[in-house]
Amino acid sequence: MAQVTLRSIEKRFGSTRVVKGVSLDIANGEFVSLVGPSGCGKSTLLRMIAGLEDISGGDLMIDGRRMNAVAAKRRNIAMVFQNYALYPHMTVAENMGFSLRIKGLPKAEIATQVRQAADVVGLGDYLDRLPRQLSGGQRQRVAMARAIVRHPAAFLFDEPLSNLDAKLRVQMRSEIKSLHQRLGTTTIYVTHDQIEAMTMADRIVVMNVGEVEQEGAPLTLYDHPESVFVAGFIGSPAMNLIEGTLSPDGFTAGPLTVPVRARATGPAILGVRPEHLILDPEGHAATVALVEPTGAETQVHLDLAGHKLTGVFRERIADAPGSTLHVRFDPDRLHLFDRETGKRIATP
Amino acid sequence: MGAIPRFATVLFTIAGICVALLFMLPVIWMLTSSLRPNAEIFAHFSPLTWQSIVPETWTLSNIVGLLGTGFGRSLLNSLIVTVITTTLGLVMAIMAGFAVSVLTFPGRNVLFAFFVVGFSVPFDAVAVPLSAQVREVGLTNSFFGLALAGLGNGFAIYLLRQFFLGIPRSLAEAARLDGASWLRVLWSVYLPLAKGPIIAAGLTLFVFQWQAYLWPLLVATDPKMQVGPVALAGLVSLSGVIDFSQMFAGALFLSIVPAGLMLWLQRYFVSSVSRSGMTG
Repeated sequence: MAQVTLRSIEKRFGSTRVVKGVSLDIANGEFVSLVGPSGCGKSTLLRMIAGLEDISGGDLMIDGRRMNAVAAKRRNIAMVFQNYALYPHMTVAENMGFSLRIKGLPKAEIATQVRQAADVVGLGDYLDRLPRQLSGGQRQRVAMARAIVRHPAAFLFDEPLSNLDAKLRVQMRSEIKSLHQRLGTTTIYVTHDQIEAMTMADRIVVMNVGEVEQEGAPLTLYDHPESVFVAGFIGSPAMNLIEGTLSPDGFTAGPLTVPVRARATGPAILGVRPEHLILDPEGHAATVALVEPTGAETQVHLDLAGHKLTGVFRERIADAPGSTLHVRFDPDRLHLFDRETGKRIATP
Repeated sequence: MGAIPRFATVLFTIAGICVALLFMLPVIWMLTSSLRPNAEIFAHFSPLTWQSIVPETWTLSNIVGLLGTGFGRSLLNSLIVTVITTTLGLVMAIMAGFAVSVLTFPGRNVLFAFFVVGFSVPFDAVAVPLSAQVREVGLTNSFFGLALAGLGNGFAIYLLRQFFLGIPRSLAEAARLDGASWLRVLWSVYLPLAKGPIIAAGLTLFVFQWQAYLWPLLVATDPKMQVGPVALAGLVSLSGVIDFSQMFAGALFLSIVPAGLMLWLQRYFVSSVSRSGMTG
């Protein structure tokens, strides 16, 4: 296990700043997920921690030791790549034992450790197979076992599930999480899928254009997004965002007026999560655009005074497109953001 | 429906065999001419008959006579020089190809451009000044001196670089994280995946050196260090009269080694050349 500390980490490619002064403290045994859209710098940051990219500025510390100039192979870090990066000409056992062979361990010792790691991920019967003879999920497990066998100070995952189908992704998600719970190794997990981050991580770091937008526990980010970007990024379906104006009377967007508790006035964005729209005959009249029943709940796309909204309801709704549905916003679950800065507006 | 394609297949096969025979004709002629008396070779040329190709009298005296001129020694020299060139040249080409495709350092692309330009320059144009330098350092009449010109082969570097570029970089990165040095990454990951291109590059080096004439002529002045192609050319001037049957026998010997090698390894050569185009 290791403590990983990033102090004002920078990455420049020529004159382009890809990572802009990122600072993070990752505790021993913590599972941290870096999320953000493509090009936000999350993978670059991970590769800098791994030693696969040079650090242009700032300090990377692992267990208090500065690692900026330490070669990747001396950082005692294992990484699981998006494309698995299994050696195609080596069997599963050889793939897993490669690092141990380099260390010069005796063959019997390698075999024992490989067997143990294979059992952890349920690959004991596949040790003699080549990667091409395995399914996507099995390859992913080999990649994890190859990391486990080294007993590294930290695991790095770079979008490891993005090549798997939806069902396998859910299964592997649970496996990685339970693996972390069993091994307790510090884990840094990069993904663009916020559901993955929400379900697996102890802490989520949301990145945007090379900077940390917000970090915190998954539900903290969900319940209290500090910016419009985080509000829109975390949560599926995404939070409804309505542009309007704050005044002492409340939030106004065209004919729509919503009473809110805020001292600030001026251009603002009102955010409301789809599940915080409530069916109420006394509520605002909205036109149904599309109904998507998922069984447990119903997702309804609505047009409310010209604003496109999505609502998620426990009720079964069978209203046809074009019909009218009355909804109101849960007053305790509204979010307000400054339209200029995109930052959260405090409410009393 | 099925009859037409089958007919077409038969037709194309016959046409293919005819074209192949046409291409094989000089080789067959070389083979049979080396096994018939000198006087017979051009005796049946006008008009062309079966006897133009098939000897009336079969004999091994040309081959025996050829080996009596020291051609065997020259052939052995060729083999030694070619093995040195292929082995060292391949090590150099692999290292260079790996460096310009996998390692990242300033000027990498300039270095690669230098290699490519290097193999674009006709070797004959630089052979004479180069041989003067080899003479200056005292490497004339040595196997290493003979092999030197063929060691740096730009095409072999290009071929290997193109293949290495096609290997996902994450494999090298995974190996580095596993604790491998760059040399170990090359040895344990890249080389096992590049058997075909390595064989193709090796064949390129082999053929270049095996058929070399000008360079060995310039740096091997001692008859004991003569290589096969130079010895073959020497048959003309030494005997006064051109003994074509002996020349054909010599050409046959010089052809058998690379032809055998090419036939044995052709599948690797074809697949890697076509693959290098796609991955580049």
